[in-house]
Amino acid sequence: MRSEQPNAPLWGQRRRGWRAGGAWALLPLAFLGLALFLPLWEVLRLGLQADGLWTAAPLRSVLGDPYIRRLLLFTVEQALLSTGLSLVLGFPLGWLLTRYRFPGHDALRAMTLVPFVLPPITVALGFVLFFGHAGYLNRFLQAAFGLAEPPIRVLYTLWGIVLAHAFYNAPVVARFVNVAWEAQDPTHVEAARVLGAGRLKAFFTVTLPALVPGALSACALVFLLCTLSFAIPLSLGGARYATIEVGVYNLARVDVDLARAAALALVVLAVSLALTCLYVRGGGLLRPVSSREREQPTVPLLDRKRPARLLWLVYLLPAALVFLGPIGAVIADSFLRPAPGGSSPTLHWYRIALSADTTPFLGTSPLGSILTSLGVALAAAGGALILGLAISAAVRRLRSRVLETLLMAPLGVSSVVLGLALLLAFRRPPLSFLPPGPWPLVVAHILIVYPFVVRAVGPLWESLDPRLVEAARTLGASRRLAFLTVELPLLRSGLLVAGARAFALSLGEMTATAMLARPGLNTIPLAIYQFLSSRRFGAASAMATVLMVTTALVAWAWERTGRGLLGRREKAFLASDSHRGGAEIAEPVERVASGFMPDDKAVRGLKAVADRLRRYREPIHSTTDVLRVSAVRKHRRNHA
Amino acid sequence: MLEVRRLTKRFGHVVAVEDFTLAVPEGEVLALLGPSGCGKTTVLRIVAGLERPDAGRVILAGRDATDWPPEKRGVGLVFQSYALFPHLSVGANVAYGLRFRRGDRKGRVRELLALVGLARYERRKPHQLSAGQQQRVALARALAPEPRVLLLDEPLSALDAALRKDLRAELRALLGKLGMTALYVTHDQEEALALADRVAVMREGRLEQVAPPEELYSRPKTPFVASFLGRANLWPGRVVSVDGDRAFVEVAGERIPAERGECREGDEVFLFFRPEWVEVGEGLFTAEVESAEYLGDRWELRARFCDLPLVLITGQDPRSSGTLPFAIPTARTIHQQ
Amino acid sequence: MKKLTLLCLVLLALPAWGTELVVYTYDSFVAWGPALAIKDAFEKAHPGVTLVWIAPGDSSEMLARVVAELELGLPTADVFVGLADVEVPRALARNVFRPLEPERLAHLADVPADLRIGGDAFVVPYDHGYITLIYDARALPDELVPRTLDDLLRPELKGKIVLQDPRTSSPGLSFLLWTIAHYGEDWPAFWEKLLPNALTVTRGWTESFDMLEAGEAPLGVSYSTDEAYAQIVYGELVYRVLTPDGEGFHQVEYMGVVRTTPNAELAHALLDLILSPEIQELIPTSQWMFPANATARVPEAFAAYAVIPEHPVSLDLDTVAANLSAWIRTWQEILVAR
Repeated sequence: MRSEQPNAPLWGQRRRGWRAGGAWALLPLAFLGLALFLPLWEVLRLGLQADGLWTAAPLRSVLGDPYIRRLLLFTVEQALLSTGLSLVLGFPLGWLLTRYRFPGHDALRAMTLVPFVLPPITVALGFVLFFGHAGYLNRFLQAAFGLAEPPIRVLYTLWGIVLAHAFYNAPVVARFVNVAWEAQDPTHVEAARVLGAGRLKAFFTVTLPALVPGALSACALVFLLCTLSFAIPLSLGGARYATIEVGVYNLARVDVDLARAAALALVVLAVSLALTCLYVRGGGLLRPVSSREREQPTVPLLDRKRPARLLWLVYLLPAALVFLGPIGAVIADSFLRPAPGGSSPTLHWYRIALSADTTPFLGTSPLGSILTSLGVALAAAGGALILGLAISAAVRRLRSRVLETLLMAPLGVSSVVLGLALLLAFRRPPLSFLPPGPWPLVVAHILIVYPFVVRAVGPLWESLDPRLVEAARTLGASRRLAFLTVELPLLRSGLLVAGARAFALSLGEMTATAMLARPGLNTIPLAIYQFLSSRRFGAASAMATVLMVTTALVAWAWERTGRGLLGRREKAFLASDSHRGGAEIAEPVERVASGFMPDDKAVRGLKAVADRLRRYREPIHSTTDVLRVSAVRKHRRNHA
Repeated sequence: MLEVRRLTKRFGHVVAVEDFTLAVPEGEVLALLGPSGCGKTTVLRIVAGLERPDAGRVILAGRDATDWPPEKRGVGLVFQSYALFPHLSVGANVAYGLRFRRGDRKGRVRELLALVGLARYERRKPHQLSAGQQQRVALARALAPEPRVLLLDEPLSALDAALRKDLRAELRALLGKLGMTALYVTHDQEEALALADRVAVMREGRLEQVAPPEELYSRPKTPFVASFLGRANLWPGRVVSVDGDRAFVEVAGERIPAERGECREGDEVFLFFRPEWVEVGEGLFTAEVESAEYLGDRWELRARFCDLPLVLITGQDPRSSGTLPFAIPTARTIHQQ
Repeated sequence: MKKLTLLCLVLLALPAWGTELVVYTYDSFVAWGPALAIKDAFEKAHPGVTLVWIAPGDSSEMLARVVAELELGLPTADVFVGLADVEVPRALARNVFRPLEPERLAHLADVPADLRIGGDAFVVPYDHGYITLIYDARALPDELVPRTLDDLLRPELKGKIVLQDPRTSSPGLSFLLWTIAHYGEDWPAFWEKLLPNALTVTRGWTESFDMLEAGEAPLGVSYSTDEAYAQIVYGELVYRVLTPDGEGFHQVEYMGVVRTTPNAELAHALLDLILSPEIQELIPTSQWMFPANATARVPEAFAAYAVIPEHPVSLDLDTVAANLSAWIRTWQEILVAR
């Protein structure tokens, strides 16, 4: 009898998943094969071959070089110090944000995101202008106290680099601590207090131990970021202080010793892969577990009865100096630095920064650099979106860890190594067949930014109700049409946010860009670096301000668009929260997009958004309620 | 119109559906009833083409549809969670299935929205509707492309009790008016009995019994069907003698007459009778009342007869005495398995 | 999105039409030197040709850039201007230049033989001068002014000296070679004490001189002509030149034609233009160096204030070629060791 025979799994669920997933995986695999694995193979070949034979000799020679050993040691040293300082500066900020209410609280919280959209080169510039020997801070102190010598001498020392790294990473720590702390169940402390623990004892025995995982996780991330830092040590280290990333750059682009560069790049690659794996693995273990029913209680910072709280000023004032000083210095300098005729304030530097005339110091025109940057960022964002979408789809269907790791590989490859790999690969077929143009830059930027797209789109997609597609299928839509008419429109806001983030990241990228720079091809960050290193501070500041404003505009636009799309689609969702809504949505997305931030809360936020999109039973009146969704539900159920 | 033959579906080692055969003639509403996890939704998804059976065939309008993708099957599916497209308006949701066919789409959308009583809501977004309204939109959307068969997957289970009853009646009327062939999956026996022309009871992936509701209630074929639908007294016993269409079942030393059914002398059977069939207050037997629950219009008594559990219904306050005489005028036999 | 990108690229590529002669040089040659005058004169003599100066770094950095671009097969410069004598062996080893055709360089005859090297096969000189120390007379008290190289190690000078990186800058390299010539085998010991005293080691001369002008440091390595610069530009000797032990390192600067150029003829025309008296006479007061062309007239103020050390120091180029990478490696290790 016919029906006795088992059916061949022609398009059975599993097989169908593999086939469709395989199609989705094909594009990213082909791209990564050509643009990442083939180039990395070139590095491997160059770094591990001598006269066509495989040998560890180049590697041994590089590792045996006392200078390079010194670089490695210095890299670790500065990363440890930077991590420590970031923790010291960031922990109190996380504390402040969690425990206290004060005017400007939300603004301060939002400002901890600023480093994520601030390209490192602008920070380096800000540090030179603010902390330099003839910088704003020293000039102010000298004028105020009548000093003959500049009192603050951190620039061109180890501490300059460490301080700049702390500027960048203390907010990261603050975020982690804030997230971990807010996830804590306040009843634990209350239980400890009832059991007889004093305020301090409760803090040290209950609160602090629960924060350790979050703080450790933050430290691991900061260590990773500082180890692979490039623009800051390059611009602030002078000749004396260089990290391994700068070392690879110097070997490849200054000494032009490609074999040694490749050998050192392999060392860097090993370090970056190891640290990333450690962070990703450990980060999963260390992620704070949220089990609270109530919000953390907050107390007012400004309280007449508790003047001791004003001691926070001891932290806040220097912190404000470190965080706001450099950015303010860049913006101020772009207007206030006297033009050649001596006039100040002036728009002279903007005329230079936006000039269409070729400047010998850049090799191109500043406007050309800006246009290249915008074009590359646009192409990179577009490419990253397509790639990110395809990878999200493939990972979602195939559920293969190996494939996922493979497809997210660029996260573990340092940008300098990526730059070197592409530099080598574009010398020979098949990549050398590409017509002349900024392709190496576009490819590098796509590789650097697409993992962030995947991390923003993946969870959102994952949270879409699969029944929506099934409904479309039973209504006559093919798999492809169901994707185009149902999934894609629902992912659109997430894609826009991810695209804008990718655009901003690409605009600020300097590491791989510096490796791949070629005549006539300049980007904004490179132009800032060149203006900075030839000490044309006014032009550098104007250019940096242009970059910061562009990035801020993009950030603002993605917030607006995200809010607008959601608003149109889900009026009830944001109805009573139109003001903060967008920011709060953009924020978790932003954090996931930053790739490494604790995605626990962010994913929860995204899931809640998607939950709302697909179920819309109880309208959420405030997006902060996203965090209280379960509580809201319970509440409503009880009242129903 | 719809037929499934000897379906089997496993998920890993779990057998979801086993050797399942069922036919739904044109115009019939058939309810697939069973406790959650019994495989009824899997059958539905196989019919819709969203799952592929490991063995067995799906026949739609006389043609083997087992290998057809869902979009080619011409079935309508209403999900438990409605699965309305949140980015489309109500009208666009209903029109979604029409974009693949010609004709007056706008008119058809209006017609359907009018049919479910939501004519004024065409431009709303799904989240602006109440749950009941969303349910109606889901129904209209599924009906729009004029499916051969309408599949409903627990469509009312997400609604609250009062709304569920209203919609149930509406749905019944609507399906009758359209003369739809429908497969209705539910775990709610009341819903199944109220809505369906026939009810199929499923248990652990297998079909227990298919019958019109009245027959299913009064003449269950298995102890499972008997106890799954309404309250049932099932006493194990043995057929000691048969007389025409009557059988005498020996239970706890008593010979109790019952409708014979298919049993023969010497068979091990259950004596089955509904609580409401029992005459309380007079009779040869005496029950020891253990507890009584007041349910407004009646009392439901838990009692024992010779150590056998017994559920009784009575209109009088039974608490005056610990024992109660009763008779079983109507009873049936069900084979022990 | 893609279309917009392509449009941007096309717009960027547009100015590339028409003949372009791309010249790499170090930043100060454009910022101070006669680059713009050369551009005007050259474009007037060769209508339809655009001369493009590219100078984002100091000489060694720019040389590295040409080398990198040659090795990576990227488009690169047609002409390189601004190679210090001590860098010539490095450039020749990397096969940067194409052989010159001296018959196309009419003005080469006016250049004294002692400035020319290697039979003019690959590079010709265009100016020369002396690497010395300079200090800001307003910022450095007299008692701190070093009279010898050893004086640079005085603890009072800690954080007041700006040096250049010999890996990226030609004055930096010249200063390193000067100390090697001065101290012989013991030079590493000198640097081990000098580096901790330095405020910073900049990538190029421009940055270090700018730090001097900005008042960030009062003492640095620069050229012996800086007194002339101070006198002519500021009208007073704000910068004083030091010739410790009476020494200064003689530096000759060269130019050559990059081997991949498709415009060899124009390239030679440019070299000859730079050697012409018309341009050579601009060198003293813009480039602040001595012209290579002996027939070029030098302004009196320049002649009066440009210091010529009593004992000019130089190193044999073959010795440099043989030892340079070892010296640089040693220097690098001293730099990072603490």
